[in-house]
Amino acid sequence: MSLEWYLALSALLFTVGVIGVLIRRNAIIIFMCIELMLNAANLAFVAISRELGDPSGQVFVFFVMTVAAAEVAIGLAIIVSVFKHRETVNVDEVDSLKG
Amino acid sequence: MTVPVINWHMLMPELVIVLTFVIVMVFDLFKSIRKSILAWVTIIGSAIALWASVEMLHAGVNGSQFNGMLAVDRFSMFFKIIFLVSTILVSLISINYLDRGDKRQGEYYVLILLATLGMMLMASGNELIVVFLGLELMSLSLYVLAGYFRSVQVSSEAGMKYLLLGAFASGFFLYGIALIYGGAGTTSIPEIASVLEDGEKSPLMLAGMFLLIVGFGFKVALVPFHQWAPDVYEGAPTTIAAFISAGPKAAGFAAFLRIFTSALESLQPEWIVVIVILAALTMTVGNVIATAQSNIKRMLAYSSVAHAGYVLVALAAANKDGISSAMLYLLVYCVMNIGAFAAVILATTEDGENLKISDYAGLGFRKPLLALFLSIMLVSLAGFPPTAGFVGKFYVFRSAVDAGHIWLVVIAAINTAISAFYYLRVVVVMYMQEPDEELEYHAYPGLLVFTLLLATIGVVLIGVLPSYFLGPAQISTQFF
Repeated sequence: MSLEWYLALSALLFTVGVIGVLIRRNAIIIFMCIELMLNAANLAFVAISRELGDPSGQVFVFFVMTVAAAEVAIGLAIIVSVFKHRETVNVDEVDSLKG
Repeated sequence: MTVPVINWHMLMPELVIVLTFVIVMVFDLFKSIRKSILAWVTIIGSAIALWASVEMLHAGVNGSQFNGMLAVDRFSMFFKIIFLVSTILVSLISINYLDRGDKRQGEYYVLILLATLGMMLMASGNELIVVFLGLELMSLSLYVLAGYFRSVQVSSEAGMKYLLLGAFASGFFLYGIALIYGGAGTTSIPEIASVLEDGEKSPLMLAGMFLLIVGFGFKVALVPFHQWAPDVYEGAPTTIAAFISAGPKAAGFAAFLRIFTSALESLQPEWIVVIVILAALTMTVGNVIATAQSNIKRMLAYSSVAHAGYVLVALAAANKDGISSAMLYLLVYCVMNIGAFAAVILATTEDGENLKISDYAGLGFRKPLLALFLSIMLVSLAGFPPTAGFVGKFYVFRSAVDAGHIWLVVIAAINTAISAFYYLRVVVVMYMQEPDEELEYHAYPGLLVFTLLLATIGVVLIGVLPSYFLGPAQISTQFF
Protein backbone atom coordinates (compact mmCIF):
# COMPACT_ATOMS: atom_id res chain seq x y z
CA MET A 1 0.00 0.00 0.00
CA SER A 2 1.19 3.49 -0.69
CA LEU A 3 2.06 6.14 1.86
CA GLU A 4 -1.12 8.12 1.17
CA TRP A 5 -3.35 5.48 2.74
CA TYR A 6 -1.40 5.47 5.96
CA LEU A 7 -1.35 9.26 6.12
CA ALA A 8 -5.09 9.37 5.45
CA LEU A 9 -5.72 6.95 8.32
CA SER A 10 -3.44 8.94 10.59
CA ALA A 11 -5.18 12.22 9.66
CA LEU A 12 -8.52 10.54 10.37
CA LEU A 13 -7.35 9.39 13.82
CA PHE A 14 -5.98 12.85 14.54
CA THR A 15 -9.29 14.47 13.56
CA VAL A 16 -11.25 12.04 15.73
CA GLY A 17 -8.96 12.99 18.62
CA VAL A 18 -9.39 16.74 18.07
CA ILE A 19 -13.16 16.48 17.77
CA GLY A 20 -13.25 14.34 20.90
CA VAL A 21 -11.32 16.94 22.88
CA LEU A 22 -13.66 19.65 21.69
CA ILE A 23 -17.01 17.96 22.27
CA ARG A 24 -16.51 15.57 25.22
CA ARG A 25 -16.76 17.02 28.72
CA ASN A 26 -15.25 14.28 30.89
CA ALA A 27 -11.62 15.12 31.68
CA ILE A 28 -10.51 11.49 31.36
CA ILE A 29 -12.15 11.05 27.95
CA ILE A 30 -10.55 14.32 26.81
CA PHE A 31 -7.25 12.93 27.97
CA MET A 32 -7.79 9.71 26.00
CA CYS A 33 -8.56 11.77 22.90
CA ILE A 34 -5.26 13.62 23.35
CA GLU A 35 -3.49 10.24 23.47
CA LEU A 36 -5.26 9.39 20.20
CA MET A 37 -3.78 12.55 18.64
CA LEU A 38 -0.28 11.55 19.77
CA ASN A 39 -0.74 8.05 18.38
CA ALA A 40 -1.94 9.45 15.08
CA ALA A 41 1.37 11.29 14.89
CA ASN A 42 3.17 8.03 15.74
CA LEU A 43 1.44 6.25 12.88
CA ALA A 44 2.49 9.03 10.50
CA PHE A 45 6.08 8.80 11.76
CA VAL A 46 6.27 5.04 11.24
CA ALA A 47 4.67 5.14 7.79
CA ILE A 48 6.90 7.96 6.57
CA SER A 49 9.96 6.31 8.07
CA ARG A 50 9.26 3.11 6.12
CA GLU A 51 8.60 5.03 2.92
CA LEU A 52 11.88 6.94 3.23
CA GLY A 53 13.85 3.92 4.43
CA ASP A 54 15.08 6.11 7.28
CA PRO A 55 14.96 4.44 10.70
CA SER A 56 15.06 7.70 12.68
CA GLY A 57 11.31 8.13 12.33
CA GLN A 58 10.77 4.87 14.20
CA VAL A 59 13.10 6.00 16.97
CA PHE A 60 11.01 9.17 17.38
CA VAL A 61 8.02 6.97 18.11
CA PHE A 62 9.79 5.57 21.15
CA PHE A 63 10.44 9.07 22.41
CA VAL A 64 6.83 10.04 21.87
CA MET A 65 5.60 6.91 23.66
CA THR A 66 7.82 7.76 26.63
CA VAL A 67 6.52 11.32 26.73
CA ALA A 68 2.94 10.10 26.46
CA ALA A 69 3.45 7.72 29.39
CA ALA A 70 4.86 10.51 31.55
CA GLU A 71 1.98 12.74 30.54
CA VAL A 72 -0.56 10.10 31.56
CA ALA A 73 1.09 9.65 34.96
CA ILE A 74 1.04 13.38 35.69
CA GLY A 75 -2.32 13.98 34.06
CA LEU A 76 -4.17 11.30 36.02
CA ALA A 77 -2.58 12.53 39.27
CA ILE A 78 -3.81 16.07 38.62
CA ILE A 79 -7.28 14.84 37.62
CA VAL A 80 -7.46 12.78 40.83
CA SER A 81 -6.52 15.82 42.91
CA VAL A 82 -9.34 17.80 41.26
CA PHE A 83 -11.75 14.91 41.89
CA LYS A 84 -10.88 14.95 45.61
CA HIS A 85 -12.11 18.54 45.83
CA ARG A 86 -15.18 18.43 43.65
CA GLU A 87 -16.28 14.80 43.27
CA THR A 88 -16.52 15.33 39.52
CA VAL A 89 -14.22 15.44 36.52
CA ASN A 90 -16.71 17.12 34.21
CA VAL A 91 -14.85 20.14 32.86
CA ASP A 92 -18.01 22.24 32.68
CA GLU A 93 -18.62 21.82 36.40
CA VAL A 94 -15.02 22.63 37.33
CA ASP A 95 -15.51 26.34 36.91
CA SER A 96 -14.38 28.29 39.97
CA LEU A 97 -11.91 30.19 37.78
CA LYS A 98 -13.50 32.47 35.23
CA GLY A 99 -13.97 36.10 34.34
CA MET B 1 28.13 4.88 12.67
CA THR B 2 30.69 6.64 14.81
CA VAL B 3 30.31 7.50 18.45
CA PRO B 4 29.77 11.25 18.70
CA VAL B 5 32.54 13.21 20.35
CA ILE B 6 31.01 15.13 23.23
CA ASN B 7 32.59 18.38 24.27
CA TRP B 8 31.38 18.57 27.86
CA HIS B 9 32.60 22.12 28.15
CA MET B 10 29.97 23.31 25.66
CA LEU B 11 27.20 21.74 27.73
CA MET B 12 28.20 23.52 30.94
CA PRO B 13 24.92 25.38 31.64
CA GLU B 14 22.81 22.25 31.17
CA LEU B 15 25.18 20.07 33.18
CA VAL B 16 25.23 22.51 36.08
CA ILE B 17 21.43 22.57 36.15
CA VAL B 18 21.24 18.76 36.10
CA LEU B 19 23.77 18.54 38.93
CA THR B 20 21.88 21.15 40.97
CA PHE B 21 18.66 19.24 40.45
CA VAL B 22 20.25 16.03 41.74
CA ILE B 23 21.70 17.83 44.77
CA VAL B 24 18.34 19.42 45.63
CA MET B 25 16.62 16.04 45.34
CA VAL B 26 19.14 14.35 47.65
CA PHE B 27 19.12 17.20 50.18
CA ASP B 28 15.35 17.00 50.33
CA LEU B 29 15.64 13.49 51.77
CA PHE B 30 17.34 14.75 54.94
CA LYS B 31 14.74 15.92 57.44
CA SER B 32 17.34 17.87 59.41
CA ILE B 33 18.15 20.29 56.56
CA ARG B 34 16.22 23.53 56.61
CA LYS B 35 14.00 23.76 53.57
CA SER B 36 15.20 27.22 52.59
CA ILE B 37 18.63 25.65 51.96
CA LEU B 38 17.04 23.93 48.93
CA ALA B 39 16.09 27.30 47.51
CA TRP B 40 19.61 28.61 48.03
CA VAL B 41 21.12 25.55 46.33
CA THR B 42 18.77 26.19 43.39
CA ILE B 43 19.74 29.85 43.25
CA ILE B 44 23.49 29.17 43.49
CA GLY B 45 23.31 26.42 40.84
CA SER B 46 21.35 28.67 38.49
CA ALA B 47 23.78 31.52 39.13
CA ILE B 48 26.74 29.29 38.18
CA ALA B 49 24.91 28.20 35.02
CA LEU B 50 24.12 31.85 34.31
CA TRP B 51 27.77 32.78 34.70
CA ALA B 52 28.77 29.95 32.33
CA SER B 53 26.21 31.11 29.76
CA VAL B 54 27.39 34.72 29.95
CA GLU B 55 31.00 33.59 29.52
CA MET B 56 30.08 31.45 26.52
CA LEU B 57 28.07 34.29 24.97
CA HIS B 58 31.09 36.59 25.34
CA ALA B 59 33.46 33.98 23.96
CA GLY B 60 31.19 33.69 20.94
CA VAL B 61 30.59 29.94 20.95
CA ASN B 62 29.27 28.57 17.72
CA GLY B 63 29.02 24.84 17.39
CA SER B 64 26.79 21.89 17.87
CA GLN B 65 26.71 18.73 19.93
CA PHE B 66 25.33 15.19 19.60
CA ASN B 67 25.61 14.96 15.80
CA GLY B 68 24.15 18.41 15.31
CA MET B 69 21.06 17.80 17.40
CA LEU B 70 21.89 20.52 19.91
CA ALA B 71 23.05 23.92 18.67
CA VAL B 72 25.43 25.62 21.08
CA ASP B 73 25.42 29.14 19.68
CA ARG B 74 25.04 32.70 20.91
CA PHE B 75 21.32 32.68 20.14
CA SER B 76 20.71 29.82 22.56
CA MET B 77 23.07 31.36 25.14
CA PHE B 78 21.15 34.64 25.11
CA PHE B 79 17.93 32.76 25.79
CA LYS B 80 19.58 30.64 28.48
CA ILE B 81 20.50 33.87 30.22
CA ILE B 82 16.84 34.95 30.10
CA PHE B 83 15.67 31.58 31.53
CA LEU B 84 18.27 31.50 34.29
CA VAL B 85 17.57 35.10 35.33
CA SER B 86 13.87 34.16 35.54
CA THR B 87 14.64 31.03 37.54
CA ILE B 88 16.81 32.94 40.03
CA LEU B 89 14.23 35.70 40.51
CA VAL B 90 11.38 33.21 40.92
CA SER B 91 13.37 31.10 43.42
CA LEU B 92 14.11 34.25 45.43
CA ILE B 93 10.45 35.24 45.68
CA SER B 94 9.43 31.63 46.44
CA ILE B 95 11.33 31.34 49.75
CA ASN B 96 9.00 33.54 51.80
CA TYR B 97 5.92 32.59 49.82
CA LEU B 98 6.30 28.87 50.56
CA ASP B 99 7.32 29.43 54.19
CA ARG B 100 4.06 31.26 54.82
CA GLY B 101 1.92 28.29 53.91
CA ASP B 102 4.33 25.72 55.37
CA LYS B 103 4.20 23.78 52.14
CA ARG B 104 6.38 20.90 50.92
CA GLN B 105 9.34 22.47 49.20
CA GLY B 106 11.72 19.87 47.82
CA GLU B 107 9.72 18.93 44.73
CA TYR B 108 8.96 22.56 44.08
CA TYR B 109 12.57 23.49 43.37
CA VAL B 110 13.26 20.19 41.58
CA LEU B 111 10.39 20.90 39.21
CA ILE B 112 11.50 24.49 38.64
CA LEU B 113 14.98 23.22 37.73
CA LEU B 114 13.56 20.56 35.40
CA ALA B 115 11.37 23.15 33.69
CA THR B 116 14.44 25.35 33.26
CA LEU B 117 16.34 22.44 31.72
CA GLY B 118 13.46 21.85 29.32
CA MET B 119 13.53 25.51 28.28
CA MET B 120 17.29 25.35 27.69
CA LEU B 121 16.82 22.31 25.44
CA MET B 122 14.12 24.15 23.52
CA ALA B 123 16.40 27.12 22.89
CA SER B 124 19.28 24.84 21.84
CA GLY B 125 17.26 22.24 19.95
CA ASN B 126 18.48 22.02 16.37
CA GLU B 127 16.23 19.10 15.64
CA LEU B 128 12.44 19.22 15.89
CA ILE B 129 12.30 16.13 18.11
CA VAL B 130 14.74 17.69 20.60
CA VAL B 131 12.57 20.82 20.66
CA PHE B 132 9.54 18.60 21.31
CA LEU B 133 11.26 16.75 24.17
CA GLY B 134 12.39 20.05 25.72
CA LEU B 135 8.88 21.43 25.37
CA GLU B 136 7.38 18.38 27.09
CA LEU B 137 9.95 18.39 29.91
CA MET B 138 9.10 22.03 30.54
CA SER B 139 5.34 21.60 30.21
CA LEU B 140 5.03 18.48 32.37
CA SER B 141 6.95 20.20 35.18
CA LEU B 142 4.75 23.28 34.87
CA TYR B 143 1.48 21.29 34.98
CA VAL B 144 2.51 19.92 38.36
CA LEU B 145 3.71 23.31 39.58
CA ALA B 146 0.44 25.01 38.56
CA GLY B 147 -1.47 22.48 40.67
CA TYR B 148 1.16 22.48 43.42
CA PHE B 149 -1.11 23.59 46.29
CA ARG B 150 -3.15 20.40 46.22
CA SER B 151 -5.25 21.44 49.20
CA VAL B 152 -6.32 24.63 47.44
CA GLN B 153 -9.20 24.00 45.07
CA VAL B 154 -8.33 26.68 42.50
CA SER B 155 -4.73 25.48 42.29
CA SER B 156 -5.73 21.93 41.32
CA GLU B 157 -8.21 23.35 38.87
CA ALA B 158 -5.53 25.55 37.29
CA GLY B 159 -3.30 22.47 37.01
CA MET B 160 -6.03 20.49 35.24
CA LYS B 161 -6.87 23.28 32.78
CA TYR B 162 -3.22 23.84 31.98
CA LEU B 163 -2.69 20.09 31.54
CA LEU B 164 -5.64 19.50 29.20
CA LEU B 165 -4.97 22.48 26.94
CA GLY B 166 -1.19 22.09 27.09
CA ALA B 167 -1.35 18.40 26.12
CA PHE B 168 -3.85 19.26 23.37
CA ALA B 169 -1.34 21.81 22.03
CA SER B 170 1.49 19.24 22.22
CA GLY B 171 -0.62 16.95 20.02
CA PHE B 172 -0.82 19.64 17.32
CA PHE B 173 2.88 20.37 17.66
CA LEU B 174 3.85 16.72 17.32
CA TYR B 175 1.59 16.15 14.33
CA GLY B 176 3.12 19.21 12.72
CA ILE B 177 6.57 17.67 13.21
CA ALA B 178 5.38 14.38 11.70
CA LEU B 179 4.06 16.15 8.58
CA ILE B 180 7.24 18.19 8.18
CA TYR B 181 9.21 14.94 8.48
CA GLY B 182 7.05 13.58 5.69
CA GLY B 183 7.51 16.67 3.53
CA ALA B 184 11.22 17.22 4.03
CA GLY B 185 12.40 13.70 4.87
CA THR B 186 14.31 14.98 7.88
CA THR B 187 13.68 16.75 11.20
CA SER B 188 17.01 18.52 11.44
CA ILE B 189 16.48 22.28 11.21
CA PRO B 190 19.42 23.10 8.88
CA GLU B 191 18.55 20.15 6.60
CA ILE B 192 14.90 21.22 6.37
CA ALA B 193 16.12 24.67 5.36
CA SER B 194 18.30 23.24 2.57
CA VAL B 195 15.52 20.92 1.33
CA LEU B 196 13.16 23.90 1.14
CA GLU B 197 15.71 26.06 -0.66
CA ASP B 198 15.72 23.56 -3.50
CA GLY B 199 12.17 24.67 -4.17
CA GLU B 200 10.09 21.85 -2.74
CA LYS B 201 6.95 23.23 -1.15
CA SER B 202 4.87 20.13 -0.64
CA PRO B 203 1.40 20.49 0.86
CA LEU B 204 2.63 18.31 3.74
CA MET B 205 5.18 20.99 4.65
CA LEU B 206 2.56 23.73 4.61
CA ALA B 207 0.10 21.74 6.71
CA GLY B 208 2.90 20.90 9.16
CA MET B 209 3.88 24.55 9.39
CA PHE B 210 0.35 25.65 10.28
CA LEU B 211 0.07 22.91 12.92
CA LEU B 212 3.35 24.15 14.43
CA ILE B 213 1.91 27.68 14.59
CA VAL B 214 -1.15 26.33 16.43
CA GLY B 215 1.07 24.38 18.86
CA PHE B 216 3.29 27.37 19.58
CA GLY B 217 0.23 29.61 19.73
CA PHE B 218 -1.11 27.60 22.67
CA LYS B 219 2.23 27.47 24.43
CA VAL B 220 2.95 31.20 24.27
CA ALA B 221 -0.76 32.12 24.64
CA LEU B 222 -1.59 33.87 21.38
CA VAL B 223 -5.18 34.84 20.65
CA PRO B 224 -7.28 32.76 19.81
CA PHE B 225 -5.34 30.08 21.73
CA HIS B 226 -5.03 32.07 24.97
CA GLN B 227 -8.07 30.95 26.98
CA TRP B 228 -6.04 28.89 29.44
CA ALA B 229 -3.75 31.75 30.45
CA PRO B 230 -5.99 33.87 32.73
CA ASP B 231 -7.41 30.82 34.54
CA VAL B 232 -4.01 29.26 35.11
CA TYR B 233 -2.38 32.51 36.26
CA GLU B 234 -5.22 33.17 38.69
CA GLY B 235 -5.37 29.69 40.17
CA ALA B 236 -1.68 28.77 40.23
CA PRO B 237 0.53 29.84 43.15
CA THR B 238 1.54 33.46 42.46
CA THR B 239 5.24 32.59 42.21
CA ILE B 240 4.42 29.97 39.58
CA ALA B 241 2.20 32.40 37.70
CA ALA B 242 5.25 34.69 37.54
CA PHE B 243 7.37 31.76 36.35
CA ILE B 244 4.89 30.59 33.68
CA SER B 245 4.50 34.12 32.35
CA ALA B 246 8.26 34.60 31.97
CA GLY B 247 10.61 31.73 31.11
CA PRO B 248 8.28 29.33 29.26
CA LYS B 249 6.99 32.15 27.08
CA ALA B 250 10.56 33.11 26.19
CA ALA B 251 11.37 29.43 25.53
CA GLY B 252 8.36 29.08 23.24
CA PHE B 253 9.50 32.12 21.29
CA ALA B 254 13.11 30.87 21.19
CA ALA B 255 12.02 27.70 19.38
CA PHE B 256 9.46 29.65 17.33
CA LEU B 257 12.15 32.09 16.13
CA ARG B 258 14.70 29.38 15.36
CA ILE B 259 12.28 27.12 13.46
CA PHE B 260 10.50 29.82 11.50
CA THR B 261 13.40 32.07 10.58
CA SER B 262 15.86 29.25 9.98
CA ALA B 263 14.16 26.00 8.92
CA LEU B 264 11.06 27.48 7.32
CA GLU B 265 12.68 30.64 5.98
CA SER B 266 11.73 29.77 2.40
CA LEU B 267 8.05 29.57 3.39
CA GLN B 268 8.15 33.14 4.66
CA PRO B 269 5.52 34.45 2.18
CA GLU B 270 3.09 31.84 3.54
CA TRP B 271 3.65 32.28 7.28
CA ILE B 272 4.19 36.01 7.49
CA VAL B 273 0.52 36.76 6.75
CA VAL B 274 -0.59 34.44 9.54
CA ILE B 275 1.88 35.99 11.97
CA VAL B 276 0.75 39.54 11.15
CA ILE B 277 -2.92 38.62 11.73
CA LEU B 278 -2.13 36.76 14.95
CA ALA B 279 -0.02 39.68 16.20
CA ALA B 280 -2.79 42.24 15.61
CA LEU B 281 -5.43 39.95 17.21
CA THR B 282 -3.26 39.05 20.19
CA MET B 283 -2.36 42.62 21.06
CA THR B 284 -5.87 43.98 20.63
CA VAL B 285 -7.82 41.23 22.38
CA GLY B 286 -5.28 40.95 25.23
CA ASN B 287 -5.26 44.66 25.98
CA VAL B 288 -9.00 45.26 25.58
CA ILE B 289 -9.95 42.40 27.90
CA ALA B 290 -7.28 43.43 30.41
CA THR B 291 -9.00 46.80 30.86
CA ALA B 292 -12.10 45.01 32.15
CA GLN B 293 -10.35 42.93 34.85
CA SER B 294 -10.80 43.55 38.56
CA ASN B 295 -8.39 40.84 39.76
CA ILE B 296 -4.76 41.90 39.44
CA LYS B 297 -3.48 38.41 38.56
CA ARG B 298 -6.01 38.15 35.73
CA MET B 299 -5.08 41.62 34.57
CA LEU B 300 -1.41 40.64 34.46
CA ALA B 301 -2.41 37.44 32.61
CA TYR B 302 -4.17 39.34 29.83
CA SER B 303 -1.33 41.84 29.76
CA SER B 304 1.13 38.99 29.24
CA VAL B 305 -1.04 37.77 26.34
CA ALA B 306 -0.76 41.27 24.85
CA HIS B 307 3.02 41.30 25.34
CA ALA B 308 3.29 38.07 23.32
CA GLY B 309 1.60 40.06 20.56
CA TYR B 310 4.34 42.70 20.64
CA VAL B 311 6.98 39.98 20.29
CA LEU B 312 5.07 38.66 17.26
CA VAL B 313 5.31 42.13 15.70
CA ALA B 314 9.08 41.72 15.83
CA LEU B 315 8.80 38.20 14.38
CA ALA B 316 6.69 39.58 11.53
CA ALA B 317 9.66 41.77 10.57
CA ALA B 318 11.46 38.44 9.95
CA ASN B 319 14.95 39.89 9.63
CA LYS B 320 17.95 40.10 11.93
CA ASP B 321 16.78 43.38 13.46
CA GLY B 322 13.41 41.83 14.19
CA ILE B 323 14.94 38.78 15.85
CA SER B 324 17.34 40.77 18.01
CA SER B 325 14.61 43.19 19.10
CA ALA B 326 12.35 40.24 19.97
CA MET B 327 15.17 38.79 22.10
CA LEU B 328 15.72 42.09 23.91
CA TYR B 329 11.97 42.47 24.41
CA LEU B 330 11.69 39.00 25.97
CA LEU B 331 14.55 39.77 28.38
CA VAL B 332 12.91 43.06 29.40
CA TYR B 333 9.49 41.45 29.66
CA CYS B 334 10.69 38.61 31.91
CA VAL B 335 12.37 40.98 34.37
CA MET B 336 9.49 43.43 34.64
CA ASN B 337 6.76 40.82 34.74
CA ILE B 338 8.40 38.82 37.53
CA GLY B 339 8.91 42.14 39.33
CA ALA B 340 5.21 42.94 39.03
CA PHE B 341 4.22 39.51 40.38
CA ALA B 342 6.74 39.89 43.24
CA ALA B 343 5.02 43.16 44.18
CA VAL B 344 1.66 41.37 44.10
CA ILE B 345 3.02 38.75 46.54
CA LEU B 346 4.37 41.51 48.77
CA ALA B 347 0.94 43.16 48.85
CA THR B 348 -0.82 40.12 50.34
CA THR B 349 -2.48 40.55 53.72
CA GLU B 350 -2.40 38.44 56.87
CA ASP B 351 -5.79 36.91 56.14
CA GLY B 352 -4.88 35.56 52.73
CA GLU B 353 -4.26 37.08 49.34
CA ASN B 354 -5.88 40.34 48.41
CA LEU B 355 -5.91 40.43 44.67
CA LYS B 356 -8.69 42.85 43.81
CA ILE B 357 -7.39 46.04 42.27
CA SER B 358 -9.73 47.98 44.60
CA ASP B 359 -7.85 46.46 47.56
CA TYR B 360 -4.80 48.45 46.49
CA ALA B 361 -6.46 51.75 47.41
CA GLY B 362 -4.28 53.87 49.66
CA LEU B 363 -1.29 51.54 49.34
CA GLY B 364 0.82 54.50 48.30
CA PHE B 365 0.61 55.94 51.83
CA ARG B 366 0.58 52.80 53.93
CA LYS B 367 3.22 50.86 52.02
CA PRO B 368 5.18 53.55 50.17
CA LEU B 369 8.13 51.33 49.22
CA LEU B 370 5.91 48.58 47.82
CA ALA B 371 3.76 51.07 45.92
CA LEU B 372 6.89 52.64 44.43
CA PHE B 373 8.24 49.28 43.21
CA LEU B 374 4.87 48.24 41.77
CA SER B 375 4.51 51.62 40.04
CA ILE B 376 7.93 51.30 38.41
CA MET B 377 7.07 47.81 37.11
CA LEU B 378 3.67 48.94 35.78
CA VAL B 379 5.13 52.04 34.14
CA SER B 380 7.71 49.82 32.49
CA LEU B 381 5.05 47.33 31.35
CA ALA B 382 3.13 50.26 29.87
CA GLY B 383 6.30 51.26 28.00
CA PHE B 384 7.18 54.73 29.27
CA PRO B 385 10.72 56.09 29.11
CA PRO B 386 13.23 55.86 30.82
CA THR B 387 12.28 52.27 31.69
CA ALA B 388 13.22 49.06 29.91
CA GLY B 389 9.67 48.61 28.62
CA PHE B 390 10.05 51.69 26.45
CA VAL B 391 13.37 50.54 25.00
CA GLY B 392 11.98 47.08 24.23
CA LYS B 393 8.92 48.45 22.44
CA PHE B 394 10.98 51.06 20.59
CA TYR B 395 13.29 48.51 18.97
CA VAL B 396 10.41 46.15 18.16
CA PHE B 397 8.40 48.90 16.46
CA ARG B 398 11.42 50.22 14.60
CA SER B 399 12.31 46.81 13.17
CA ALA B 400 8.70 46.33 12.04
CA VAL B 401 8.58 49.77 10.38
CA ASP B 402 11.86 49.05 8.60
CA ALA B 403 10.37 45.81 7.30
CA GLY B 404 7.37 47.71 5.94
CA HIS B 405 4.66 46.68 8.42
CA ILE B 406 3.44 50.24 9.00
CA TRP B 407 -0.16 49.23 9.75
CA LEU B 408 0.87 46.63 12.25
CA VAL B 409 2.95 49.22 14.11
CA VAL B 410 0.01 51.64 14.10
CA ILE B 411 -2.16 48.94 15.71
CA ALA B 412 0.64 48.20 18.20
CA ALA B 413 0.93 51.90 19.11
CA ILE B 414 -2.83 52.18 19.68
CA ASN B 415 -2.59 49.11 21.88
CA THR B 416 0.21 50.65 23.91
CA ALA B 417 -2.13 53.57 24.62
CA ILE B 418 -4.91 51.17 25.71
CA SER B 419 -2.49 49.30 27.96
CA ALA B 420 -1.35 52.55 29.61
CA PHE B 421 -4.95 52.99 30.75
CA TYR B 422 -5.15 49.82 32.83
CA TYR B 423 -1.59 49.85 34.13
CA LEU B 424 -1.86 53.45 35.29
CA ARG B 425 -5.28 52.81 36.77
CA VAL B 426 -3.60 50.64 39.40
CA VAL B 427 -1.12 53.43 40.13
CA VAL B 428 -3.98 55.93 40.45
CA VAL B 429 -5.86 53.61 42.80
CA MET B 430 -2.74 53.20 44.97
CA TYR B 431 -1.97 56.89 45.33
CA MET B 432 -5.25 58.73 44.96
CA GLN B 433 -7.98 56.62 46.52
CA GLU B 434 -8.81 56.18 50.17
CA PRO B 435 -9.10 52.57 51.40
CA ASP B 436 -12.54 51.31 52.50
CA GLU B 437 -11.21 49.25 55.37
CA GLU B 438 -7.96 48.81 57.24
CA LEU B 439 -6.04 45.73 56.08
CA GLU B 440 -3.33 43.97 58.04
CA TYR B 441 -0.27 43.61 55.81
CA HIS B 442 2.69 41.32 56.24
CA ALA B 443 5.90 42.96 57.30
CA TYR B 444 8.30 43.45 54.40
CA PRO B 445 10.21 40.18 53.94
CA GLY B 446 13.78 41.22 53.20
CA LEU B 447 14.26 38.78 50.34
CA LEU B 448 11.19 39.93 48.48
CA VAL B 449 12.31 43.53 48.74
CA PHE B 450 15.77 42.46 47.56
CA THR B 451 14.25 40.70 44.52
CA LEU B 452 12.16 43.74 43.69
CA LEU B 453 15.25 45.89 44.02
CA LEU B 454 17.10 43.61 41.58
CA ALA B 455 14.20 43.75 39.12
CA THR B 456 13.99 47.54 39.45
CA ILE B 457 17.72 47.93 38.87
CA GLY B 458 17.40 45.67 35.82
CA VAL B 459 14.46 47.62 34.42
CA VAL B 460 16.18 50.99 34.88
CA LEU B 461 19.57 49.75 33.68
CA ILE B 462 18.17 48.32 30.43
CA GLY B 463 16.14 51.49 30.03
CA VAL B 464 19.15 53.77 30.38
CA LEU B 465 21.85 51.67 28.71
CA PRO B 466 20.00 49.60 26.10
CA SER B 467 23.02 49.11 23.85
CA TYR B 468 24.77 46.90 26.43
CA PHE B 469 21.90 44.44 26.10
CA LEU B 470 20.91 44.92 22.47
CA GLY B 471 24.51 44.42 21.29
CA PRO B 472 24.75 40.80 22.47
CA ALA B 473 21.28 40.15 21.03
CA GLN B 474 22.35 41.51 17.65
CA ILE B 475 25.47 39.39 17.40
CA SER B 476 23.38 36.40 18.51
CA THR B 477 21.32 36.34 15.34
CA GLN B 478 24.08 34.84 13.22
CA PHE B 479 22.65 31.35 13.27
CA PHE B 480 21.43 31.26 9.68
